[in-house]
Amino acid sequence: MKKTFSLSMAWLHTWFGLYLGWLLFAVFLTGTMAVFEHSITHWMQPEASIDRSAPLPSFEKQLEVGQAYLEQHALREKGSLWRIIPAGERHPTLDVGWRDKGKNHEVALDPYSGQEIDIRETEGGEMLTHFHYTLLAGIPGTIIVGLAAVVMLVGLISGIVIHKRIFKDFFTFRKQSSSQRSWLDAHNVAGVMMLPFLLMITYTGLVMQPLVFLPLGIKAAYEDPRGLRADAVQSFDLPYVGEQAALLNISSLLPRARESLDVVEWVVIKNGGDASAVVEFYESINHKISAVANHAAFNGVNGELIGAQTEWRDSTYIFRAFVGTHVAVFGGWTVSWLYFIGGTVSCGLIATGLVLFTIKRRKRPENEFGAASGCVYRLIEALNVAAVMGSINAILIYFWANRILPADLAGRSDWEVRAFLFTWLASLAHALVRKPLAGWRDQLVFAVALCWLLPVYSWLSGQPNLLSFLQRGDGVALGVESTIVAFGVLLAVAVPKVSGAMRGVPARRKG
Amino acid sequence: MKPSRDIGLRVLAAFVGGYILTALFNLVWVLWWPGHRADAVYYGTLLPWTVYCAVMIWAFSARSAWRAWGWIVLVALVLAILWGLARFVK
Repeated sequence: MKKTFSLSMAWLHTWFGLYLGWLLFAVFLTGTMAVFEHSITHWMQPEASIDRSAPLPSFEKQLEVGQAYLEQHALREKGSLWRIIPAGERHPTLDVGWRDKGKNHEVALDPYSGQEIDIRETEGGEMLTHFHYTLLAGIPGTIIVGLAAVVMLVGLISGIVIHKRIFKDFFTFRKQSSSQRSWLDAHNVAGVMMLPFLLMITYTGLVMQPLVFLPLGIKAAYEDPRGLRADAVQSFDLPYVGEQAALLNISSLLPRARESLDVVEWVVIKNGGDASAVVEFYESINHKISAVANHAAFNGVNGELIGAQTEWRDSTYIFRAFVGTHVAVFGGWTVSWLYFIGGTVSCGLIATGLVLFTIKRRKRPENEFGAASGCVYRLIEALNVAAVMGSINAILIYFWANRILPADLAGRSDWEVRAFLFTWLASLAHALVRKPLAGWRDQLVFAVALCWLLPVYSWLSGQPNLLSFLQRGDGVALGVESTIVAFGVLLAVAVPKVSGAMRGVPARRKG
Repeated sequence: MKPSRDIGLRVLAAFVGGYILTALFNLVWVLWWPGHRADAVYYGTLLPWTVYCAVMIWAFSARSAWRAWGWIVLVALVLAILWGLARFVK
């Protein structure tokens, strides 16, 4: 469309980057949080922060406690799906659950005493994960994120095309030259360094959702899309009988389950209490890139082995490797942190790209919008602030709401989500009222305050805080809260830069 | 052509045309896969996104918006014929 391919790509990169960058920043930031979704959930349920100084009870013991609880409380009906997830390194409580009229009912137990823990209602880190691929808007939301992901890929490719000196610029960071130059250098360094990560995370994200994105292909092969799963995952279910029968002690099956499986992580009991009960052990996927969980199933009444699946179709294995590389549960804390850092730098790439658009035009307006250019630039500045600082503050406000809202408030988790979403609106309104740089600075200072005052507030209001996490040996919650404080430091570094820019820019260009 | 209409047509080609070719490519892949249908679907999820990217880049690098659409329609027709053939053969 322009004179050369390279110029066309520059146009594409600029405009698609701008319009989709607003959405992509929020998606990448919440996606980065998703790496630690379970840790965040644990932090958001301070009641579950129990003293971990004594060694955990054995897996067998925890299974017995879980089974006893389920037999006493869980529904016994066709299709009831009892679950026991014992506590472990990353998973601080003994969780049991069952299906109640299609809805999952979850209970957290203290792994030491077996007592129910009364946990505040929250959607925890899962809400952030959910947001990053649905925008909390169901399938239409997923489609919008999918289109943004394709644009992200095109942004990466067009970025490579317009950026010919890739190797040289890897070592170039002109901090002292013009502000536009150093923003561009930051954008380039982040993009070049993160290119493999960005391509991987975006592409695997698209591949992961064939049911939503490519339904025609699946329907061409299967009348019922569930048939695909049936072809991939072996089912060892028994037909429901409707006769009561005592469930055997499931922990007694563990030695035989371990003959087929490596590390058993959790157990599912289908049709518990019925003569057709099946006890199914699932292997941990923490040590493999392809996210397939080997499983072994036993008759829940007489203990006979029904079957075990430890082999998978090559195609399933490869597909699930794409899923596994995206969700990153395969490499323990090290890989989680690498993904977290990768995600954070990627957010920086998107944010610097957005800022570049306005910095360039503040210096030398290109008047793409004719007479309205001034107003549109102003709106773009405000949307940049709302997209970047709004997203950061929305997550922080979500964390704050978790600590401020009374633990027993009705519809509590909905209020947390409302606070999260409302922050964007407030951020945009503020950015529209304030001059652009002042908008950035105010919201940066606000974010720093949110990060640093959170532990102080928790301490003053008598809630679990950095100190009590340390005393109880709760490393997960301690990690989350200290990361929030460290993030405050990162944001605080930017405050004097923005203030400096405010002094340096002539008054007429500020507004 | 007015620049705004040119850009509008290209955006449409990029998103709508891009999706049509992506979905058709996936469909033809699944239907022509010689082995098990589960393999057809799973392997079929891996490549379509490269098609989407290619179409999007093509939509904005073609000399004119009509030319961009022309090729998209042509490739879509070829894929549609392959789709029809697969239905006919099976």
